[in-house]
Amino acid sequence: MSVWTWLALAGAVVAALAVVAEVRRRAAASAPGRRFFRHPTAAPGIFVLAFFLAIALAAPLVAPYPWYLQIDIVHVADRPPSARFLLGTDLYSRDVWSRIVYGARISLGIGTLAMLLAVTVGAAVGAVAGYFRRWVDTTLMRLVDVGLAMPRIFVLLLVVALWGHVSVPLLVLLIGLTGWFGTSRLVRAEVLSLREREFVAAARALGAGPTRVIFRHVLPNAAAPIIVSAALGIGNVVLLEAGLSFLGFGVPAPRPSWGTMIAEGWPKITAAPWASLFPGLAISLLVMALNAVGDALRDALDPRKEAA
Amino acid sequence: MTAWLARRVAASVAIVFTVVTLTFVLVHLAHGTPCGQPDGQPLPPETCRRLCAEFGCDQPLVVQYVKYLAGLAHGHMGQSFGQHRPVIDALGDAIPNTLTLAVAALLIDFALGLALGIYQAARARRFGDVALGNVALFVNSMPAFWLGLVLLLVFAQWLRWFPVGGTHDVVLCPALDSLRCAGDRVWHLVLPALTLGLIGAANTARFQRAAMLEVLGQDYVRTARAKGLSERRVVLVHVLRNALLPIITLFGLAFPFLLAGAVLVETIFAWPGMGRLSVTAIGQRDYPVVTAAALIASAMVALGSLLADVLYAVADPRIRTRGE
Amino acid sequence: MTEPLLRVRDLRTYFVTEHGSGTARAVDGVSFELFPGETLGIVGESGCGKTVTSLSILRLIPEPPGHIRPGSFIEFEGRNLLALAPRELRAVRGNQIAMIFQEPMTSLNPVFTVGDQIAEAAIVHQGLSRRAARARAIAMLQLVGIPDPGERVDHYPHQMSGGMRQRVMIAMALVCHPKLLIADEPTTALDVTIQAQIIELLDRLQAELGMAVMLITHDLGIVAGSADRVVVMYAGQVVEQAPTPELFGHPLHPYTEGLLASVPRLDTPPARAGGGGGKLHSIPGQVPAATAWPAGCRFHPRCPYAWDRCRQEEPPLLDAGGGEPGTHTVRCWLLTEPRRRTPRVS
Repeated sequence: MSVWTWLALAGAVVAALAVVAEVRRRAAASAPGRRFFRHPTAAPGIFVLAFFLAIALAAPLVAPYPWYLQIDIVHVADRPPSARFLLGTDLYSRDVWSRIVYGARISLGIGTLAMLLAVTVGAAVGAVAGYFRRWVDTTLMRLVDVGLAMPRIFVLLLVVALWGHVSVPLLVLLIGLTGWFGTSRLVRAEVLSLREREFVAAARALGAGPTRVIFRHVLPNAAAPIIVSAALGIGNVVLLEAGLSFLGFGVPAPRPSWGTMIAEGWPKITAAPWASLFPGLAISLLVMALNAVGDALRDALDPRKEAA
Repeated sequence: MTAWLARRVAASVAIVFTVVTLTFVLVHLAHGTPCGQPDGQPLPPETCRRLCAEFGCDQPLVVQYVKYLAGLAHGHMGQSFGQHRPVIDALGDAIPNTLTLAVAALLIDFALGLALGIYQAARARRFGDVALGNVALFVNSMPAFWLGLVLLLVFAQWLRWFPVGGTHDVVLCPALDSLRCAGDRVWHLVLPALTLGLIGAANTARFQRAAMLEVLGQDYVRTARAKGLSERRVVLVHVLRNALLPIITLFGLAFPFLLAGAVLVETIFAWPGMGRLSVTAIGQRDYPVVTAAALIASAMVALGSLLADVLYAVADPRIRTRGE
Repeated sequence: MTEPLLRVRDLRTYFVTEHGSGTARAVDGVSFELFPGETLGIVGESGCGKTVTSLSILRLIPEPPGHIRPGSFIEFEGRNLLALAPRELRAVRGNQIAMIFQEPMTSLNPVFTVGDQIAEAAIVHQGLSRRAARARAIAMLQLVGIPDPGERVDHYPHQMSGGMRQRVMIAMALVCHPKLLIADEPTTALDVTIQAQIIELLDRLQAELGMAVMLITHDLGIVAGSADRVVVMYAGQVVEQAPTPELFGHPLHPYTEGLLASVPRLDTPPARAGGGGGKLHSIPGQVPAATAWPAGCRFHPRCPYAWDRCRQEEPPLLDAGGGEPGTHTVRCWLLTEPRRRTPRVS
């Protein structure tokens, strides 16, 4: 680790702290914002998220070595953490810390993209089902029931079994398309109650068609469950992607997905436990931060607390 | 109540049926015939002929679908390419192992989770609650396979308290024929069940805590205290009985989690269950096994959800007496 | 003179509020007495502290954020309730002093039958067997006028109407024949016709069982019909206390006057378009927040008679004379300067 990489790391920490301070400042202006920060884990959660985002974005600066570089397979393979290799090296003499930094890109990237897809589909389906009701609602919710009955990982395993290897973009697509069912139920419930409110009747009286009413009037007010689903959804995707990569069906080696790193370190786990431990720790921290932020968001945006 | 039950069971059946249909469509999109193999190695002609007779290779899709359903009804789920025997046999060996693991994990999950949740609610916002809450949050965020690896490393490799894998000692206890061998099985079950159970318990504890706190704020708790009941009775009888209701829905949600977790945990602990079978099958391009496993997993999830709904309806008197 | 059953002296119950709004002094120096067999009415608007007073007696105030200040004194049959150990306190609750609450819907446990909930107090306090307690529960349901008690005993609260649920609450409270029943707004959540039935029931039960009743309400009509004596509360304090006929006939505190004048009467001429006739009287202003009681007399911002002394000095409870000392007390400086009782021109 050179001086520059230490500085870059420090810079990432400072940037994350700055993000927390800024978010805190803006949040203090609104009641939901204040409720959000009343959770003791909310601020640390935002810090961890901002930190991972910072190192993912600035990976070339923060990581002392390229993620693919086998430094010296004869002499520095399976080395424990030291000043030179912050988190040790793996069986191919690659720097674990550098791979974790680049791996953040993979986890956050896949997590965000798949979540966006899932939340968009889920919100759309839920809104349509809740707004139109009757047979549209029944059919869509039956579909949701079916979707919820199939464990996500089995669907993905089935696709891999049938078609052989799955490319990463297709992986993102599949993860997204298997993850919208819960969101749709939440959004539907919200829309069902919102559609009885006066502003919907007012919009329709002004001649607005269903699409306009749904997208411009109802959904913005149903934002709360959508936002909470999104935060918690990224966490689920990260865990799922890690699991698939661990099994060898996700992001292919040698790319530094944290799940792949754990798999690669597994055969040598007694000799070099750090190669598998640290990637898993990174996953846990990221998902923990996402869960903490998601929980705090749920309480902050809870309309019942609004009335209290 | 019985009308509701009938409708609910019918809905479950419909769901499983739809899953079966979707799976059929999916398999047919990928492979037209049961003889085709992704890497071009054909099945022995005898097997291929037999399969085609059973599933109707050249006939219209609808006929194939009907034959597929008929086959499922008789338990014919195709031939495993990798194991060279019917899928149903391969699964028949594997499913009991997964079920054992799932039940053990479920027990740990609810026993630990409920106890922790009750304790946290009683000590709400004090140190015990906050500390446990953070630990639970961390455990709940761990990948199951990573926790398994850590437990394996610490308790099996370093401390040597538990074995590193498998369901039993194949040398000393090949058959379950004595109390000692039963104990051996339990000993092998501990670490994998703990892996899944701890993560589940962390989740259950959070829900239970929230449910207890919600109930503790209710008026009828104040009434119970005003009657002169001890705090212990108030919490364990009046509060718990109400707080357990939402937990029943967690029971239904546990199945998808356990089955998905089984896939990864079984791999780590070399546990010969459905999950590990599926993973090895993929390596051998043995899609009939994976298809069958996916179907059975979905059926289990649907069943679990049905059980949870029925349990809830029975437990909540407001729903139970609705028909009267 | 008989000894009072309940004696409350200088009760102060404060609440710590979140986010630094200060301490809410919900009950701030309340004293009164209650004698065996009598009905004491406690009246006041919401926010005056009457519910907190009743909860404090049985120490049902949640300890954070509330606490009963040292120096408060609550004596029941000669024992200081505030000094009792938890086990002794539990022996009093539901057994010697019972309480019923405002919302019968949420005050009954939805997952237990009404029979179980009534029987529970008998089992815990009197050691009855389950059979005997169930029989007692059926008897209590009969006593409170619920038809088909043998069947109803196995029903759940959600299967009953609001009026019946309140009867169940009463049955639950009385199963151990307590000496004192605290009824906190027992009829507020019920329909008007049911209200009359419940009040009638309470009157009858009191006569039959010979117990004392503390009736907390904002409804003066109920107090007029049922109470022997009345305590009027405002801003966490007792502002007037008198036997019922005396209070309604000769109210002395301006707040009491205002409350009585606010009750619409059938013999008031209706309002006319050109003015004249009777408008509904209301007390101007609002009840102040418990975190910031006004200085001096707490009612002075809303009082038509207030002068300098009222703004600066808080009046103690003064004796209004007429009969034995302490019969009619008023917290108002007008007692010392009666000539100031001239209405301001509004």
